[in-house]
Amino acid sequence: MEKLFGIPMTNIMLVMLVLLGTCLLTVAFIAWRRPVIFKLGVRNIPRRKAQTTLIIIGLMLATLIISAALGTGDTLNRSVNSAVLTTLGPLDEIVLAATDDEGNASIGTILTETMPESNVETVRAAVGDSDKVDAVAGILLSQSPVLNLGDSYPYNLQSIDDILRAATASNPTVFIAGLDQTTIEDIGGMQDLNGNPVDVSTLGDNAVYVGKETAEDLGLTTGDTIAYISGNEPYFAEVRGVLPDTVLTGSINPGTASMLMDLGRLQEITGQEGRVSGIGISNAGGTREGLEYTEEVTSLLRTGLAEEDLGVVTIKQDNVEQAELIANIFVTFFVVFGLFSIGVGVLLIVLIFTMLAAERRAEMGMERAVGAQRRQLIQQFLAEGAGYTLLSGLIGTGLGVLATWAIAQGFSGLAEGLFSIELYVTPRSLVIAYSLGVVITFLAVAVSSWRVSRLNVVAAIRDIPDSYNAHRNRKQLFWGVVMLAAGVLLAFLGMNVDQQAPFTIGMTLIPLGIAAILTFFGANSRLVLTIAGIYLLLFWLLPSDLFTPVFGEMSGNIEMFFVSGICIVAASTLVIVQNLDAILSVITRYGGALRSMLPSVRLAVAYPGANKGRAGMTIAMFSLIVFSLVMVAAINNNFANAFLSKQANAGMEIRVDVPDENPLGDFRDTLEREGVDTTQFRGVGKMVSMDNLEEVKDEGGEWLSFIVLGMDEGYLDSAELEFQAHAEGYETDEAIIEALRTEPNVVVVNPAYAEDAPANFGGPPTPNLAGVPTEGPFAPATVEVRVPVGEVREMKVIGVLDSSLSMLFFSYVGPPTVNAVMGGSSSSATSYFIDLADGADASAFASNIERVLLPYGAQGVDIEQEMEESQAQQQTFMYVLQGFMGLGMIVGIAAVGVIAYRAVVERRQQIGMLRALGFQSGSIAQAFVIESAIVVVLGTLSGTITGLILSWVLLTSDEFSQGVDIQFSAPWGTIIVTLAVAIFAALLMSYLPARQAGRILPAEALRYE
Amino acid sequence: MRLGKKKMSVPAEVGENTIISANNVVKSYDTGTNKVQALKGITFEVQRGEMVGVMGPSGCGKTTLLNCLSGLDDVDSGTIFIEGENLAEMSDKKRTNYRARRMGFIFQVYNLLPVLSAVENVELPLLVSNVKSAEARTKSLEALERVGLRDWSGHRPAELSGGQRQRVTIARSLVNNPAIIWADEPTGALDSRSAGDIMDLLQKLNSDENLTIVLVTHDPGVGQRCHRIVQMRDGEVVGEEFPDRSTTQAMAVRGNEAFSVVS
Repeated sequence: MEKLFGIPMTNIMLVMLVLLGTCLLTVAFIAWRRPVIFKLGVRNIPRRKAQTTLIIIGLMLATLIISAALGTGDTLNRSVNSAVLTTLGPLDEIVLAATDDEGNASIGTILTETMPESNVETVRAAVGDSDKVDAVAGILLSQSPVLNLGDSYPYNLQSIDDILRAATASNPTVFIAGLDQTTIEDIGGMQDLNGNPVDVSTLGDNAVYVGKETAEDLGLTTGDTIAYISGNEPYFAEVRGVLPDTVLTGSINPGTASMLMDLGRLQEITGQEGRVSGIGISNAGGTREGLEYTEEVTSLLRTGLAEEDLGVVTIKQDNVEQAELIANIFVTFFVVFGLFSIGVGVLLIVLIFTMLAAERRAEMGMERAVGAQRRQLIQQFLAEGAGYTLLSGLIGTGLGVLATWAIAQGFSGLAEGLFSIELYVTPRSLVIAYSLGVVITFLAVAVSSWRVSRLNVVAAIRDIPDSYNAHRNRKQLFWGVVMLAAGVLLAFLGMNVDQQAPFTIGMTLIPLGIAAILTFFGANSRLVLTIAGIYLLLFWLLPSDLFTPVFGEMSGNIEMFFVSGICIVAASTLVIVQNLDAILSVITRYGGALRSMLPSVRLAVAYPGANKGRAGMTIAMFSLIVFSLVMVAAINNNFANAFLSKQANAGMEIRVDVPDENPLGDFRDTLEREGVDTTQFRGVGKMVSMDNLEEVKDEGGEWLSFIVLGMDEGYLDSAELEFQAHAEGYETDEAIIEALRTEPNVVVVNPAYAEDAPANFGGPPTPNLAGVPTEGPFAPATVEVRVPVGEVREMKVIGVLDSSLSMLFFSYVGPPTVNAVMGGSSSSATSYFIDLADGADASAFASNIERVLLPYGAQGVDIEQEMEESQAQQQTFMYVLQGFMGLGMIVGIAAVGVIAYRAVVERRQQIGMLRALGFQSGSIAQAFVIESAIVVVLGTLSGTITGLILSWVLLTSDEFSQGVDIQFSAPWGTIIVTLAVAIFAALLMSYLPARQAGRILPAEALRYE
Repeated sequence: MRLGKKKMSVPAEVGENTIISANNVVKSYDTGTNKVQALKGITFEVQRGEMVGVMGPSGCGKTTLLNCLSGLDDVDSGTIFIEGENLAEMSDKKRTNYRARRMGFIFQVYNLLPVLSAVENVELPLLVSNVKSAEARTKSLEALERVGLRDWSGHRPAELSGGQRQRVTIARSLVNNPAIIWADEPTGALDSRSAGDIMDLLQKLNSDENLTIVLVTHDPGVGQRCHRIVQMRDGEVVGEEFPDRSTTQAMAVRGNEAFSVVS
């Protein structure tokens, strides 16, 4: 992985190393110049081994999360990269028919366009005798159904029907590549999976090589007999060997079934004598090294081919960059969601050191009394913190690699058939994870120890609360003014640059600043802070439909998700903590209803009430992690539901994809002829790809990829098309459909193409069409659509498809436009859609249609099943993500254990007194568990409620759902299981030290100091 | 004969008025590196309504004796009877219940819960005895009234002076109408005036309510206000004194150590 949030990883590593070095030098300075302080610090580490272990676990988890997030990025990057390099093999660039005057070409034309084979020599001349090029090769690609004939003797099979009956397995779409042996030798030769050299010149008419995917799909091994159909003619061949899938074997995309034969033979079969689909160039050096020469070779080609109608596609570089982009999307998700867990880890670190400081308050007071400076107290804590973090960082980084492995296993299923997951973590990621973990701990320790170092010496020694301090109160006024001023500045800045982050952070600081100032002037702090908290909750949970009209449209990236999570949780924690006494009194009233529990409840509520800061931090920790888990679960659940409806594909149940090589004629007639019961068909429609409409000029004036499909009359009759935005003059759905039927050059588009649609996160940019809204009426918008080689056509957008039609991803035109644009030429791909009668088995029909149309290379798809499979993949990703975020939950649970353990140590003498007064050991344990339960349940409830509200607000807003109409439903099952596990585990963690507390002999506890 | 190592193995030998009876109590601590014998076979009795002071130098076993007698700590050997009940035969639960109902404790460092108010601290023993919440509150306020702190009932310990905190502790020890009050250095952390007030209060409770009080102190002034002073040294009882009878009995228990005898 090369970049994170757009910053080069090497730069991040260098910055982190500098920060780590500063931390280490600080500790070294303390050890060298303040050896006593250093010893005082580090000697605390082995004092209580169980507690030290828990602290190390807590600190370790933060590093583990960072390490796992970065490791996952590396692994995905490597895996996708390897898949790209394996698929492309030695092929670095490919020369195709040019699509514009600037020498550009599109890989999409490789199956539709051919060129004279003589161009191979032209290209060879262009690269001349450059030592950066190893080979130049003409390649012809075709598509064909392939069947495994098993033991059947081919010459007994007289017709295609005979072949279909004899076949043991079939694949309707196998890509066939034709190469000549000289080319293969020029690129250094090829080998089959058994290591035997490939020689296509000896194949003759009756032998082929098959790709690994084809072999696995059809159960083929060397020596087996296959049949393949081209131009409705069957051909028989023996499998000479099985090859790794690469573009040179015909596998143009990962997971594509392929077959290789002699170029001349393929030209003969397909009737493309003397022609090739493209000309591949292999750069000097190996598969990976060849990339380095891409620019140089491309420049040579562009110069040399300037006068030709040929374009260059830097296929390897493009695909590697695409792989990098995909890996980056994944890692950004993991890092952003991981930030929640890291946030919890930071809170835990602060809490741990605040508690340690509280425990040692008297000790520190004494140190101050005998002359220790405040900074020396901080140094003492830093020395101790260094001891914990240097070790825990190492363990955490190592375990992060293990977690990466576990995540990689989760992804293996997801990537199945596309690429294989290869565990890979760069040393750079490990350095960043370790340094970041250590630096975060250092900062947390420094801040928490700075706070406690400001103790009142006398109060600390006598163990009484710090008295009122007017000086401190003036600081409150100062900080209030600073927050208010910073808030106003940030809010204005955000509004000026239309950025959400500064605006929302500013709007968050303003009420906090005002609250601090009002409190200084005597306002009731509880009231003021509660109002500030409620305001912040309302502000952050405001639906964008209300936010945008009030504050205007602003842009924000995915990290806003984390910022909003932190602010919402902070606000809800503020409200809870300010009203904790009221909440606790309710708990006392109802919790103490059972008289035997009253003493435990009384104790349990007393401590959080008296230590609001500590209780607040624990509540915030749980709230944060539950909030993020609920959000992910809710998004996952609702998006899955939104896409899994029959309406998603306009009521059509079956799709039959047919390549143009095998024209079908009349679809319904063909099926009837083949014995398919078409009486079950309620409607049949067709869509063709409009190959020569490729790009549109978006609102920014940039030409961006634009996919247009042409609907036929049958489709317009059968499909249930609905629109959420209608152009003037086309006020109803029927009017739009009628226009598609009758008017040329009118188009309807998916809401993702609307002017106000959000950017397509992570993927290639989607055009936003000027004047086309997501919803509501609009003036018909004219857009410029580009056809190959420069011709520009104007089209009128008359409607925006309803978001419920979630499988209609692109833009669509009707029959007059198809005729006008295509002019009778055939399309590279056609899809037929079938609306079945109620009760008909879509899956069985799809299989049957595919079987009977196999000679045509048709693929039958049960659309609902396809959607479910696609959703299952997405859900697998979300489950892996949820699992990763579960690490944050472990931090929270460990935190409860640490806090309970510390509480037992802190209150040991009090426990002795309580036992002396007659508290049973069980009551003591019960009090500890109830105390933990109160904070855990409050945090959990706060996280669940705010998480559900925000997910509802987001999912029902057009901006986030990208126009998908979502009927929000809370993922109660996931929530209940997650929360039950979290609460149970947290209480178990507090029960262990609580039980230990109950077992302490009273006299022993009373002696404890 | 009340002192010495005479074996008292059965409750039948305990007099009707005897509320505490310890016989040959041995207690040692393992510090990890060596074993310290804190009580070396203590035999000891307290009569109902008696106010006994246990005195001796630091580390002589006074607090350990008090902890063992009150059931806060286990003994290695020997028997302890409280109101005729053998502590060793009580389960932890029964012993804890017994403490809640029949004993009150006063500690030198007060041991009040800092997170609870004075009245909430006082009502804790009642709550663990399943007394109704409202009744517990009434009794606790009454107990605070008896120690003169009714007006301070809502204050937390940090908001009270040392003497006031100790009075809250006394109120807490009284609230369940105990038979015995155990006090470990009750005036140890107080100035002489506050210490005098506390002792006045304890003496009043002892005389008015016939409460049995066993207190550990190193302050001779406090000791002189008890009916009897038991002297300890190196884990053994080495003598006793009856300040109010103006007589002192003493006996050398070991070697040539002896206490002065004053007539």
